[in-house]
Amino acid sequence: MISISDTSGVPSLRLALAAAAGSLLASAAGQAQALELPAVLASHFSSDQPWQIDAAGYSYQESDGRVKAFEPMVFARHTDAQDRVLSLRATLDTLSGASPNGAVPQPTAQTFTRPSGNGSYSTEPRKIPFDPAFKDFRLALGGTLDRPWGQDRRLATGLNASFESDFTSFSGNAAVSRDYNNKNTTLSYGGSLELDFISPKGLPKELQPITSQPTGEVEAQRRVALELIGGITQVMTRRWLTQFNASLGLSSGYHTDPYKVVSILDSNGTVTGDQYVGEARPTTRTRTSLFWQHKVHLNEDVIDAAYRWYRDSWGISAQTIDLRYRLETHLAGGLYLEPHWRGYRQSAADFYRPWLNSGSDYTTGVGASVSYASADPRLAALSATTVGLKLGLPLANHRELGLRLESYQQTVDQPTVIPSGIGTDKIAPDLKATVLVLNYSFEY
Amino acid sequence: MKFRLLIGIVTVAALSSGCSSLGVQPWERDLMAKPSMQLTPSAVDASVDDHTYFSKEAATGGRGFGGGGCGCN
Repeated sequence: MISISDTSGVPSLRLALAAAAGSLLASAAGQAQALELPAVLASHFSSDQPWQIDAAGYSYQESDGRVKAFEPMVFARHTDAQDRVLSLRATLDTLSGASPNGAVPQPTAQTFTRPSGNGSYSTEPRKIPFDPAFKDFRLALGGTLDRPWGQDRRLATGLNASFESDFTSFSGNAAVSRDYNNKNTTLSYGGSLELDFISPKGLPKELQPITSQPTGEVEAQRRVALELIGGITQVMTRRWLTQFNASLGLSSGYHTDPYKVVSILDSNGTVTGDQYVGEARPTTRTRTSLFWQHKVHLNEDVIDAAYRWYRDSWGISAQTIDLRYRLETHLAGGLYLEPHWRGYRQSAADFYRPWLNSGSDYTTGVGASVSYASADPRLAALSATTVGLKLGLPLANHRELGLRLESYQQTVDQPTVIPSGIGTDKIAPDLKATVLVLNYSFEY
Repeated sequence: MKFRLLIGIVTVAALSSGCSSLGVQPWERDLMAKPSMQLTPSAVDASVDDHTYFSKEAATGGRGFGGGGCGCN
C-alpha cells in the first residue's frame, strides 16, 4: 500500500510511481514484442472485412459568451480473422471564449495583467472577473488493440497522445479480462500511465503577486499519473447485465492552474496590498472511485443506469447518477429516442479559498501563511445536472445517423458569509452550457 | 488494514461463489448480443461525456481509463 501525503510523501510517491511505471512499461514492451505489432496492423489494413467508422461533430457552447468548443472526431474500429479488435481515434478541438480567473467581484472596475506582460483586461464593477481571451487548439490521437490472450482471456493495450499550445500529454494502458462461469462473469484489471507537460505562457509564481511574474520562456512543468482499475462484469439474467469497477489514481507533479488567481481582501472585502496572487495546489493527488452500472433490457427498450462514488486526497468527495432510457419507436425504419439525465454533486477541496484574508492568510511584503489556495470554482462545492435527448436512426448497410442535444447546468455553492465590501452576493459563477453531437456511422 | 483486507477477501469470495449461480446459457444470449446492451454502446458519446465533465468537474474516472489528457483541468 502506497502511503501518500501532500508534502512529505512526495519522494516515496515518486519512487512508487517510478517503480510502477517501470513495471508497466516493461510489461508493455514485452507485450509489444509478443504482439508483433506490424503484422497485426498489416492484418487489419489488408483485410477484406470492412471498418466501422464513426464520424462526429461535437459542439459545446456556454451561455453569456463564455467558452465555446467545436470538435470534429473520427473513430475507426476493425476486427480481423483472429478476433483482434483495433480501434483508432482522432479528435481536433478548438476552444475560445471567457474563463473565470478566480478573483472575486468588487464595487469598482478591476484590471488584471496577464503573465509575461501578455496584455491586460478589465472587469466591470460587481461582475465576476473573466479572462476574455481564453483560446486553444487541441489534437488528440489514440489507438487500442484488444486481442484474445489464451483461453477465455483478452488483453487490451492502448496508447494516447494529446497536443495543445501549452499542454502535451502521453499515456499508455494495458488491461486483461478473463471470462468465468460459462462467460457469464468477467473479471478485468489494468493500469495506465500518463505523462503531462505543462508550459503556460508565463508561469505565475504560486501564492506570489501576479504583478511580479517572470517574463519570457519558462521551463515546462511535469506531472505523472498512474491509474489502476479492477472490475467485474456479470450477466445476471437474460435481460440484466451489471458491471462494478474500483479504481485508484495517483498523480505527482504540477497540478496548479497557471491561469487562476486568488484575491487578497481586507476585512471589508476590498482588494488590498498585493491584490492578486497566483493559486497553489498540492503536488500529489490520490483519487479513488467506485462505479456500478446496470443495463436492463425490457420488452424492447433498454435502461442504462450508473452510479459513481468518488473521493480524493484533496478532500473532494462526489457522487454521480447517470440514467438513460433507449426507447424503440418503430418509426422510420427503427428510429430510437434516448432521454438522458445525469446528476452530480461534489464537496469543496480542502484548500478551496474564494479569497485570502489580508493579515491572517497573506501579508503583503511577507507572503502567505497558507500552503495552498485556489479559487477555481471547479474545486468549490457544486451541483450539476444534465438533461438531454438523443435521436438515433439506423439506415441501410449498417449505417446510423445520430443527433444528441443536451443542456448542462452547474450551480456553485456561495460562501455563507461574504464581506459587504464585495458589493454582490455572488462571487463564484454558475454555468449553463448546450452540447450538440451529430454522429454518422458507416462501414468502409 | 487487516480488517479491510479481510472484508475484501470475504467480498470477493462471496461475489465469486454467488456469480457462479447467475447468468444464462449460451443460447440465451440473444439480448446480450444487441449493440444497445453493450456497456458502452457509443464510443463517441462516451468520449464526449468524458471531455465535458473532466473539464468542468473535479471528479473523474470510474468507467475506464481516460484518453490522452487535457490541459483544461
